Amino acid sequence: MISCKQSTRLISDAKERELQFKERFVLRLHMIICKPCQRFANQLDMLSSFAKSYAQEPESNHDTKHDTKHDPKKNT
Amino acid sequence: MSVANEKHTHSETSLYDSGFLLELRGKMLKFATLQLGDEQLAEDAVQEALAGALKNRKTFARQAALSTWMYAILKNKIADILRSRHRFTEASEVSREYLDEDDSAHLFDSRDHWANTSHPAYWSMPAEEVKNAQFWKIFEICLEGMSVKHARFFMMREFLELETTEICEATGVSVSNLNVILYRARMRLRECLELNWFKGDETR
Repeated sequence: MISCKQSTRLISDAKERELQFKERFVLRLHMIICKPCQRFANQLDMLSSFAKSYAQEPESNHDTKHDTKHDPKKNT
Repeated sequence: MSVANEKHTHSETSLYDSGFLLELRGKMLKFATLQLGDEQLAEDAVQEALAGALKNRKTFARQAALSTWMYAILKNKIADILRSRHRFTEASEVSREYLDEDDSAHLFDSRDHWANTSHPAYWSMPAEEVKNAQFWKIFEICLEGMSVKHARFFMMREFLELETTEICEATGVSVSNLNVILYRARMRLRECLELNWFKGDETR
């Protein structure tokens, strides 16, 4: 069983490289029972989408345009 | 920082307004310098982005759209410069510095599971809130609070969207070191946003 710390590292690495079979396996097992790590994974996806939206109309809170689509799930 | 200059966020305030342009230029320059680590190169890149965008300014009804456009140009410029850059590699500078301190230790207990006090919170962020200027202020403060190099690599990867291999070539960092750097950067940025934005939720 991997620790949460190891799991956070794998979650981050998964954004950079394809995890090996064994890594995927232990991570998945861990995630099933670990709610904090599930949240962590969601948060990293949100970080990615924040970074992508950086510098996109940050000052436009007066406008009512709804064009900032970002799908946190859609990370390669 | 840009806090002082918030006077004209209204849509149609002139695009020619020099205060707005100056502020935007300042922000872009800071960002480009962070990414390129070279003020002259940064200056040139920003200049080109400004010139390119101003040439087409009739297309932009609102300042915000102009600013987005300029950043888009700047982003491409910086990515190009970084890609063509293998030769300037400062490999020696790279290795040690990022790898030494692991400051996430306080988040975990003795068995390396999340400590009770640091369980990641649920982040609720309605889509419109991505446009909240206050949020971006915190985001920038958090970026600035990280070491320069962490911020730089994180933005190279997640904002400029360079491939891992491209970043390694441009900077001389090995793939495994890059993964460590990005991990640390994400840990820090995550914690900073959690503490300063998402957990402050109730008080906002």
